Amino acid sequence: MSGAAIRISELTKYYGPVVGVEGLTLDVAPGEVFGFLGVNGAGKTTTIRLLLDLLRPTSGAASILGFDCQRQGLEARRRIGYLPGETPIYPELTGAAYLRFLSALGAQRTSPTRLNVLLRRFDVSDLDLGRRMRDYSHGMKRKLGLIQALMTDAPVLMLDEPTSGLDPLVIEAFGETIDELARSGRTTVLLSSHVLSEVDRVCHRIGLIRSGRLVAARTLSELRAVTPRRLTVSFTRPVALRLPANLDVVLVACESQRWVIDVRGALGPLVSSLAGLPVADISLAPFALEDAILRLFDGNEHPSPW
Amino acid sequence: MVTLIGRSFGRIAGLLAAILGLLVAFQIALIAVASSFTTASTLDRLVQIMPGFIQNAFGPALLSFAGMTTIGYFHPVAVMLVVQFAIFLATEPAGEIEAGLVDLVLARPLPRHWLVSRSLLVMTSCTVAATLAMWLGTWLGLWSLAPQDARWPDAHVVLMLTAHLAAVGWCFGAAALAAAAWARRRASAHATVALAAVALYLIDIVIESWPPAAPFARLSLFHYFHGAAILRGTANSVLDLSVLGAIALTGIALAYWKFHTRDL
Repeated sequence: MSGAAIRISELTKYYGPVVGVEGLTLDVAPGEVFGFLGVNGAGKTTTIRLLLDLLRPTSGAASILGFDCQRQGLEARRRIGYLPGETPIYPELTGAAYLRFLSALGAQRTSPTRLNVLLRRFDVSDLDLGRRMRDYSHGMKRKLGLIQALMTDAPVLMLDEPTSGLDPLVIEAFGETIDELARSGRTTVLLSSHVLSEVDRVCHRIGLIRSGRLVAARTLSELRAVTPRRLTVSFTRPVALRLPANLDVVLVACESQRWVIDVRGALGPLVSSLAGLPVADISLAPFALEDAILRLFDGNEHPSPW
Repeated sequence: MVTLIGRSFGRIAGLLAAILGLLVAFQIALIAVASSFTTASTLDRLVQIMPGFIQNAFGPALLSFAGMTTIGYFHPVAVMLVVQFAIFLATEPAGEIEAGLVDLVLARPLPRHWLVSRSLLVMTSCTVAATLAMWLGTWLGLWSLAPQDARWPDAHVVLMLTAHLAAVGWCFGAAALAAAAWARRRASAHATVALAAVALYLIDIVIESWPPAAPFARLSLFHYFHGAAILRGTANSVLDLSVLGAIALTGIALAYWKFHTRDL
């Protein structure tokens, strides 16, 4: 992929004998919302901190909008908005002073209009902004963290576990914000999470990382195409099993009046094969990202046919 | 950089004001005591009842009004206050790593070394401010409390004491900066250097009081700041300040190098 917004090439980071990430290669296209999925300790945060030059890589390279994260770190970070996994605070500062301080450190001044939109969207009142951060709840700190990452309108956003500790309304507001950024096509988002619904909701593509290695990077439509869905067919009277041999299906249960089938890919041929049978009902379980992920994290060292 | 420095001063403003006020008050109180002894002509008797090691440590400071007004500059409590304050300030980078603030700050387009430079500037200026507070307290006390016929301390001597105190504080601050560049926890960096400072002070006392240990005198940083020797005019201030400066510069260089190369 040429002109990637985020390019990671054979990036490796060892913490002594412990693998942080190993041989990670990944491109994220401009305007793409990329979800980085993995269990705790898989290497998601390490990757993001390598991109921010907070960690020095053992080997490999990474770049943001063409700027090498190590050699041209300042230029790279000039283009990044970042939410850490845990929101660090200055307890003695008010929320307003916190945002002012971080804005003053940034590359470009924060637009008051944009800041006001974010404050309204994440339901942060003037009263909240006037309180010292030591008195904030975890959720309120997290909201301020999100706002500081989003307020500069950076072309690349890196969000580490962005919705942890947020209530459903704020999670929805966050989803809307990411949707808007995605529609604008001007912002690339790298979002790490282990919340599948969050990734399913906002991401165009996901990368699965396990033990520091990228297991797969797929669009959601690619995942849908290769993940079996469970189809249950009920009949009005007993029928003999009759499925075309060329279909990519697995028969899970076959009773006289009910078949349970895992189907991969398009459903058309299977539905056609049911023509003429006394079908009473067909139910199809919706695509579940969890199933796709679990297939990859099923404990095999070499998971997935894909 | 100005924003970072402002934030650091914002965090320590109360503590800084308290320490500066304490040092000014200490000097004024000391001069009040010296005035009292001088007026009552009891300085000679005071010296006679002092144990030998205290006479050795304070030397001529106890023999005159001018000497007594300068005790504060090398009194263990004042010296340790300045040194420990410098150590505390210089360990700020480790505190930022520990609290995760470094992620927030360095995700912005700021060079890493700014955090070290910021802490160096804050530590240096506060150390200088602490010694200037003592200077201010000295002259305020003298103007307001000195007996009319008492001889004031020589300005050059006070300047040398101030310079040595600032240099010792700066030296330990620089060591703390280096420790902070290695550490992941502020308490680790702080405790290591703070305990080392106390240990070196005690070692210096032992060495000065016990002639067989004299060959090891140069191992303690406090060897390069002997107030009594400065009052007597026997100190080699240029050499002492050069050694302290060189040690401080080494610590600062190590801090920059380590902070640049480490994982944050």
